Amino acid sequence: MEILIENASKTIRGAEVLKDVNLRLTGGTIYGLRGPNGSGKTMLLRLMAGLIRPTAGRVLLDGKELGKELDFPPSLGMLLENPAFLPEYTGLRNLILLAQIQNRVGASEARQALLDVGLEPDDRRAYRKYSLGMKQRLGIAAAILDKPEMLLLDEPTNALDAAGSALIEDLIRRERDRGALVVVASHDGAFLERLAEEIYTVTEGRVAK
Amino acid sequence: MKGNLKSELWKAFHNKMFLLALAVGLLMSAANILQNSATVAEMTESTLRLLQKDPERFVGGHGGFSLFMLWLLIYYSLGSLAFDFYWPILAALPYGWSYLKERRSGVYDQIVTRMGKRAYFRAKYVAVFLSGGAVVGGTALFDLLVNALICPVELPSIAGLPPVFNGHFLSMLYFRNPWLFCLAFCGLAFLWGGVTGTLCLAVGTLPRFQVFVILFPYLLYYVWNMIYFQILQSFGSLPLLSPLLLIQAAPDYFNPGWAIFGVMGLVALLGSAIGYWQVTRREFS
Repeated sequence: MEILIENASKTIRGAEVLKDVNLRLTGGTIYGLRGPNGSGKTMLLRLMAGLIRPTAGRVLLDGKELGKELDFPPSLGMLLENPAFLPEYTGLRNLILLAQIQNRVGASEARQALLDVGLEPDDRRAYRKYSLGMKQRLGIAAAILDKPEMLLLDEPTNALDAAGSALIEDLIRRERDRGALVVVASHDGAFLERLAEEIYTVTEGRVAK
Repeated sequence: MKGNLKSELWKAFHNKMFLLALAVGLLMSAANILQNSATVAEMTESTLRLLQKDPERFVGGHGGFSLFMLWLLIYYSLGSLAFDFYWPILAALPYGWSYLKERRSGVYDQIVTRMGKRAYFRAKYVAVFLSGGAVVGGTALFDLLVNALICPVELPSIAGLPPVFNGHFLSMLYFRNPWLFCLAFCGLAFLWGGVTGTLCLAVGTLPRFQVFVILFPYLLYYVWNMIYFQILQSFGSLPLLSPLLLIQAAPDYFNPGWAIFGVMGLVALLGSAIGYWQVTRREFS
């Protein structure tokens, strides 16, 4: 898998949130994006996910242009900003509902994804009763659920204690070893230094190595 | 598409709002049934009194107070009036709010990146349609079946001041096979519930709160109804063109099939075309 971003800019309501971004990312690597809040890290991840279209430039996925030849990356797992689930259902039910969409994985993989992030699959509590840390873990479980070729994680260690962060770090490395292209955005420089093989700095919408 | 439809249908029929809508619909029907049972008891008593007092003048029957006059979509009881005016809320309540909720919470991103916006819209449309239709059509069917246990099932008589007249849709069927007439209107109620629920998709993410999405079809129909009666009717005697009242099987104005299906088609077009644009074309960042 390869993602190529060529001269991509994005303007939202008159504000240029991404400015002439050029990047080439390949599978089997962990990339880090660092920068202060509001620098454009999340927008860059949303651009790679196909959730926003560049105002100028283009995003190519294995040579196919996102937004023209492809609506979204065909195999994508992501955790952008806050974990997003239906509050009235359990964690397992939320994952099963997501798994049903593509039918690539089933209930057993959903249970395994929960175990991988340290959650109990048979927990009967609804998502709305989860603690912040549990919500974050569930968000990561959803991201890795379909064993994606491309994994986009925005502040994956938010609300996690040291043990939880270590577990997630291991998990991200396992995804990389599987061959996934992993992009992790974080304002925690030390975390990225430990984890990422290449780190880019995002400042006011500009991306530099 | 198949997997996503399964997932959408599961969510549409396994949520508290669907159960709430069903409960409110059944409550309206229960109010109608209770009032009918009192009316039928009273009519039966007066008929028996008449039979005792003056058997020679007794012509038989229940004076027209049969199931086919007292059904929810025909009769003017407290329950049926509530249903007649508030059914658009029942249609939107089960699942119409779900698009706004999924978009505002971010669940939308998780879903569309797995299967695309167009397939998401199709599955959402079907789920909203079926859940709205099930509650509105289900309430009408429930009322028909339970009333059949209470009310005399007497063929409507043209001489007995029936609620259905010549200009009404399927009026001939009403006098020949009233069961089929009622079942046909249960089917129409299902369709009205379905297309009305999908109007919620047309407002997209414009409202901040789900309650406004749920109220939108009702408010739209209310304004439409006012325009119809205040403006359109002043141009002459038009057929009924108000979706709020077209669900009734025997409204005060004539309701030809073309008016029912024309207005329903217009509502379906609004829900599907604007809904499609909202769900698939508008960028939300």
